[in-house]
Amino acid sequence: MSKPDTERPSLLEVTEYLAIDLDARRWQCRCCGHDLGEAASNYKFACLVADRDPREVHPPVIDGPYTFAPDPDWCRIVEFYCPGCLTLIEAEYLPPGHPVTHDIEIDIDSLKKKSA
Amino acid sequence: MALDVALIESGIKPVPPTQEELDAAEALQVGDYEIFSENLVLIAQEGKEVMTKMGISSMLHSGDTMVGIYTAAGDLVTTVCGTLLHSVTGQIPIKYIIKHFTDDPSVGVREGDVYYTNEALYGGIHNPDQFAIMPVFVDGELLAWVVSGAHQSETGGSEPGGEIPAATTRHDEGMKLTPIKIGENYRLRTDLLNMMENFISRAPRMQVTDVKARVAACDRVRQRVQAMAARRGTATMKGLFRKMIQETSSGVHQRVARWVDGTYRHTVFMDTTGHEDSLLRASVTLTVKDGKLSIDFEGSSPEHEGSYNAFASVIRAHCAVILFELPFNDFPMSSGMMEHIEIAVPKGSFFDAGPEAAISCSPLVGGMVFPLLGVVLSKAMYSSEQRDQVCGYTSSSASAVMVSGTNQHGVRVTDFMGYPLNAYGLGARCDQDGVDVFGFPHGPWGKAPDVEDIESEFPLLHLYQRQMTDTCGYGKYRGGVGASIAYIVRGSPYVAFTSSQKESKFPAHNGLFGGYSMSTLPGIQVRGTDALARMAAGDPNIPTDDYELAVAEANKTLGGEVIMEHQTRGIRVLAEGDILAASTQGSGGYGDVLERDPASVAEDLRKEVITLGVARDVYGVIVDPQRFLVDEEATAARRQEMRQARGAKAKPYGEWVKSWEAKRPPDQALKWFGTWPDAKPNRDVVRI
Repeated sequence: MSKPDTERPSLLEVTEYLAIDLDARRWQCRCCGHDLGEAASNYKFACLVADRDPREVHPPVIDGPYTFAPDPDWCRIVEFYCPGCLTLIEAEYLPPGHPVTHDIEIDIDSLKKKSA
Repeated sequence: MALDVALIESGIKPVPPTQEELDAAEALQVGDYEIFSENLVLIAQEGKEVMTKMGISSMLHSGDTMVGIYTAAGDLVTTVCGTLLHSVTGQIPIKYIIKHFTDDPSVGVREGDVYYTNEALYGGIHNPDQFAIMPVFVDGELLAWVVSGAHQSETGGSEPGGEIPAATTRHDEGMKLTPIKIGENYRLRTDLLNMMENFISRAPRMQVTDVKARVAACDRVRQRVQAMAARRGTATMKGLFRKMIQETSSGVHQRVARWVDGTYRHTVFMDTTGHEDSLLRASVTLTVKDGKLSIDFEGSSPEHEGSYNAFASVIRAHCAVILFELPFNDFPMSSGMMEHIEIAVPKGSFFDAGPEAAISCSPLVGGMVFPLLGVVLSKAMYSSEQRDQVCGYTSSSASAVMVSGTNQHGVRVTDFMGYPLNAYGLGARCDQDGVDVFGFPHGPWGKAPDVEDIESEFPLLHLYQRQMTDTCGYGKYRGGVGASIAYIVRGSPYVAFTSSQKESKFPAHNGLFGGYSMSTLPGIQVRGTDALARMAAGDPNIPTDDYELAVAEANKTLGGEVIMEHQTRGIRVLAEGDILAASTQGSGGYGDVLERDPASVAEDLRKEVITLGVARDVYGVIVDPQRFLVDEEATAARRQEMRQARGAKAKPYGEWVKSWEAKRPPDQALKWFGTWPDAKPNRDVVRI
């Protein structure tokens, strides 16, 4: 997978790791250029996903209900990776089973209108 | 009760200008706005200095204060903080007084009047926040208003400390004054001061002295504004006020117009109702469209019988804090900002509870707005020229412990511990780490009291006060760490304390763009200790941070019993020698941990920001723990291994979500959540 052409005017940098190809109206990874689906949809649906025990990232110091780490029965870390380069694009701290967030919907028509 | 709901909902937006004001703004000469607007800021600054120096509560020194100047119609012109919360909400009681008292012959609005209020139902935050309000007349004409506000750490509630985690209704929360006139002809009424003293009998000296400090601040500003008007003319003053509102309004509009239109969403979770551990959801949708912002908190959990509820005015004011501090920090802090911003808060949610709800802990609820708006604003700004202001901001906890008792001088005291309040970490940014122990999330202008000041005023000795390892969110850029803080009771047979900190089971932050949240912190007490004797004997094994304190009983480094609990705690009584921890959260990281410069990881290790296990297992960096040198080859191999492990464990979304949707938190976690998973009301709230 080749690196994306970040100088291309039709490429909108949306986050540290995400861009939208405004002509194609599709998400892509800023690290490797991997296609991440339609811009109107949630890029997370095109990611590799894992939910992690928060204690893997925040090590507990003691046993019991209050350990200096999030409670793994209440909280999971849901990680979204680019399938092309495995960059961690986004992480959500969610109760187990809670729907993931559709966090960004860019109004491409408005952007094109402004640019014109 | 004469609630004016429409006024409360619209009160933080500027009222339409008069033609006279517009003409006066137009008539300002070159340089008038630039010079005189700074004069007004300096006048407000002088007022705040007067209040800080006259008052005695530590909160007057530690940031929960403001002095603001408002138009004759009650719109914010400028403010010096403290916290912007009070500057914004200060508009509502002024507008209430104008609307309901001006033509009421039993009250009226006249030169020399002094008003006072602390009732959150009238548009404030919670009843510890008390405000003095004075009109400014020039030649018999009402020209302006002045408001000075500060948090008072005792309200005469069912438990000490103003913020009362055990409260179930407003009736547990003590003195709540609707806007009342406490002075006429520049004289305060002794009978009304006596009334307040009677309400606040746990700390009467603090109450009366601090009321006078607020009023003195208002009066100093009143005198300066009158003098300025005498010199420059009332027309210039009216034009100046209007111009300051216009500049903010047009600046906000033009700036937002350059953002990419779109919809940005975020959700965080609170882990307590104030009474018991349970999850509450806080959701936000930010819409950017044609130079305007729409902020909607639909999806937040229903109100409940616990103490962690708020009114909509609290949530709107917390939005203003973030908006003034992040994207619009370079504009005059005037009400013009709100002209292009709509904020919707769902009624019946714990963000806008019914009027009988307990709300004295509402800043803890409002604090959820910090990570919520910090994240969605960052996502809206990333593609704009304001990328350098992208920041996940702070933890939502934003509080401290309150201590009450008789001090070593025999005086009754009740106050927040100002250092913890000013010791939260600030989130990482797109090009740099966050700030360690940065300050007070409600306003970065606070001042943490010196250790010596606290130890001379309160029957407390600091066991430790230091930056706390492993509390930041990890990432390409890491968040700032919080502080590890513990006190020993000394000089008094006992003290009572409460704590309205939170995030002991679930961190209310996500970090940004793959960055991790900060850690969670427990509440810790140690009872029946021999700490004072060990300190006197020079014992070198006394705990020096929360981690060592948590295992002190097991390791026999202290006598006594270690109690681990949630940071939110109702009243607890400690005897002399007992220990109380009051530590603060760090903040979220930014970007993928595997992209962090290995040399920065080694430096974090050297500075005790992180431990060796985090360097190896989270960052994938192999560091010599003696010399803090990175093993480049081993690090590259470790990171490659971790990256491959991601691919081996992760699944395509469609496959992953099938197993994910079958999961559910324990029943206790969902007891007050609302319906699962969409957090709709699912029961009637009962308040007695």
